Order: sequence, then C-alpha cells, then structure tokens
Amino acid sequence: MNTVLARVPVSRLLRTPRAWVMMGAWTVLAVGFAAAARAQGASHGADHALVGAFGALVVPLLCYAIAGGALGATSLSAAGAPAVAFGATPPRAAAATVAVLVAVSAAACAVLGAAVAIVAHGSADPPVARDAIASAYAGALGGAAYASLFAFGSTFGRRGGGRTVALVADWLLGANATAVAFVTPRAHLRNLLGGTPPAGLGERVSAVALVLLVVVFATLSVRRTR
Amino acid sequence: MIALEGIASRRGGLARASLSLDWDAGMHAVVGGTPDGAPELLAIVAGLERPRTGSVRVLDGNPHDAQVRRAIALVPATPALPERMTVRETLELAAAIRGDAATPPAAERLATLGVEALAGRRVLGLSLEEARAVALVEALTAPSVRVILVEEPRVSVDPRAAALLPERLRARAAAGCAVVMTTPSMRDAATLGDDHLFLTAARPPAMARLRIVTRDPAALVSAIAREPAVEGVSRHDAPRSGNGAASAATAGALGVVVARGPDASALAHAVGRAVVASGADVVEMRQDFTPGARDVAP
Repeated sequence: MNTVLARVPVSRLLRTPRAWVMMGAWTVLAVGFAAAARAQGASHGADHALVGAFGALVVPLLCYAIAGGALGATSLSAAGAPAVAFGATPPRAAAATVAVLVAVSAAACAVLGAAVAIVAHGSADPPVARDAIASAYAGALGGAAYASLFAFGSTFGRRGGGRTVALVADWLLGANATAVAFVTPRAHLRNLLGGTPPAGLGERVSAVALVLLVVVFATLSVRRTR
Repeated sequence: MIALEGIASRRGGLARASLSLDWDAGMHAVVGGTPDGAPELLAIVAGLERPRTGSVRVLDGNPHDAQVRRAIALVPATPALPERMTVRETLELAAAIRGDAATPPAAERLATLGVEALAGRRVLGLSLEEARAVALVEALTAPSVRVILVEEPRVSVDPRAAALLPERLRARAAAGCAVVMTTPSMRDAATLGDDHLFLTAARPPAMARLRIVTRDPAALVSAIAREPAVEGVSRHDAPRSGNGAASAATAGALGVVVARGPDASALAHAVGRAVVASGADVVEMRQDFTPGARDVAP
C-alpha cells in the first residue's frame, strides 16, 4: 500500500525539470569545490570540502530542492491530496511522501558525500575508501535529517512555506557550537564530517541525534496531517 | 449507508447546524452552495473533515478508517489529481490504492463518460472540466466504490461527459451505491435526485418559500398548484432593472412565482417536479425571505 502511495511523490520528483536543474546545480557546486581543493593540492582537501561547501551549503540546499520536487509548491497535506482523493487516509499519504523524501535525500547525499571525499582527497586525509564510506554515512544521516525537517516545515503554510523558515532557522541556529545547535541537523552533520561539535558532543552522539531528528520530525509531520 | 447524527461543521455554513439524516443507496441531492456548507458536508461524509459535534457513520464504519475510505469517492469542484502523471497512470494508481485488482483498462473506463481521448494526456495539461471528467470516471468505474460524492455535477464538467453523467450516476445508484450530489440549482436537484436535503446558512424559516423567475409563469403556477406539498403559490411581475430598452423588453417577458410550504425539502422537491412537468424556462430560483407576498391556495 505504501509503495503504491509513494508513486505520487516519486512521479512528481522524477518529472519536474526544475527540481532536476536545482539538484544538478548543487551537485555541480559540491563536486566543483572538491575539484578546486584537489587542484590547490591541499593536504586536507577532503576535510575542507566536506565541512565547508558540502556539509554547510550543499546538503541543506540539495535536500531543499528534493523537497520542492517531491512536494511541489504546496504543503505536505496538499501534496498527498491525490492519494487521499482515491481513498488513502491523509496520515498514510503523508507518511509515504515523507518516506520518499527521506530515502531520496539520504541516498543523494550519501553518493555525493562519497564523491566529494574521493575527488578532494588530499595526502593527509584518511585512506580514500574509508573516508568515502564515512562521508557517505554522514551524508546519508544528514540528508535524512534535513528531509525530515523540511517535511515538517512543509506542514506550515498553505504552500508549505514553513520549509523555507526551517532552512533559515537551521542555518542560523546550527552555525555555532552552543547547546541551541543541538536541535539542528547542521551542527550534527558538521560534527560527523570532522568539524566543530555542538556543545562538545562526540560523533556517536551526533549520529544518534540525527536519527532522533529524523524520527521526531517525520512523526510530527504525519501527525499534523490528521 | 450514510448516517449523520446532530452534525455541525467546524467552519462554513454548517457550523451552526445540527444535521441528522440517513441515506441509503440511491440518488440524493443536497440543495445548497458553498456558503450553505455543501462542501463541508461532503468532506465530513468523505472523512476528510471531522465534525465539531455529532457522529458520522458511513458503510457501517467510521469514514476515517482506511477500509471505509477506500469505498468513498469524492469529486470536489477542483479535483486533486497527481499532476505529473498521465490520465492512464492516474487511473491505475487509483485502482491500486483502492485495492481494485480487476479494473478494466483506462481507455475502457474513460469511455464510460466518452473521454477516452484523454488517456494519454498529462494531468498537468488538463482543463478543469477535463480533470473533473477524469475524477468522475474514477468514481463511477472503481468497483470498490460504494459511496460517490459529487460537488455540483452540472458545473465545470467536460461537455462529452456532462451528457452521459446523469445516466451513469443513476446506473451506479441502481447497482447499490449511495450517490450524493450538491447543487445550488433546484432544477438540477429535481432532475438528478430521488430526494433532497435543503441546506441554508441561515436558520431555516418556519415556512419555506421559493422565488422562481421564469418566462412561463402561468404554466409554472398551474404545475406547482397541483403539488400537495405546496401550501400556497403566487404570481408577481418581474422587477424592472436597468434603463435600456433591451432590459425593459427582457423584464417584460418574465414573471416571478413564489411557492411556499411547511417543509423546505418537500417544497424543493415539489417545485423541481413542477418545473420539469411544465417545461417552464426558469431564469432564477432561490429561497425567498421577503414577507408580504399574497398567496393563492392550490
């Protein structure tokens, strides 16, 4: 049933050219930064590219573009309306949409994270295979958390304008290393990619925190469509 | 099949209501528009809105339950279809969600309303009328659907589908479906519905009155006077408006008929029947709250 309900957001994502242009642009930016780091011969090229452009800029904006593609310029409940019109319950339609959003964002950020680690690899970076796997793992968790956050944001406003507020809030609150940053995907993703941790937390705690953010925001999103 | 008990909506025209009814299989017309709460009534029956007060039972269950939801088809004024899919994919998706394993091919389903040419079209490129026709086809041809809710079946429907729609809806009703239609038009309600529910945003008056502007007032008065549910009927001159010769000529050809009766629903049904029987050309029909019209007993 849920795979059937997923057809609506998947078709929207696959057949919206504007979403592909935006996703392509952020992908090119990430790979471009990685290539520039390699060209400069930086010994910690992967670290710089991952913590800088990839984690801080590309992951949130790529997930934002994916959310825009899967939901269209509407709220989460409006995005599920076609499935609801054919007899699905609103929470199940919303859950299917959030699941697609989280899965696609996690996969895209994982692949891109690994690619950035490989392209920007420097002489002082960890072994390239291990670094690529760790970056893919961090990218997947970060992408999933951002997708869940944007799904929750999309439950606010008739056209889902809340997800833009969520993007800005994450940007502002997650920029520092204080305890406030604990509720933002940005701070935990930065920690996993080797940057400054929020409130001095370890990487494992940040990984658990990202999983919790995925679950909490996804649950709240579905509950708000009832 | 549909039982409402003391229903009031959270917003809209039904907010102050306390609506109770019991609908079985058949054609049920709800006379009222958006200000009267007609869309809210359909949304409550479809399980898309929760009533402020009262209880709703559809197909012996709660319309919010997944099993019941799959047997309800709602065709609103602006249907929500998956805009990036083709019409064929849309009908296949609908069948999959409803759990209808053995549905005919999309073209065959669309032929029910004569719109099989739409099968390969993208939903995004459909006009509102075409989109409504697709939504109606889905509702009419899904085997699992037992409750069909249609907002204004004569408005914004593809002309190919509009001609076939009443017959197809009747066929589904005869096959055991409850078909509920909302319309602000008394004539549509009379021709489409087997019974009528009269919605009004205002508190119902003690005596219901209908004011009909027609080109054949004499024929209509005679027909209405024969209806037992009508307590009184009167004929008046049409009010003149505008300054031009054309409007004066038009107004001169019109007459106003006011019918009254103790039961708004029965009155609506009776007037609708009289309009059809007399063949009177009706320009406008609405509830009348103007006091002082002199009535002629039938």
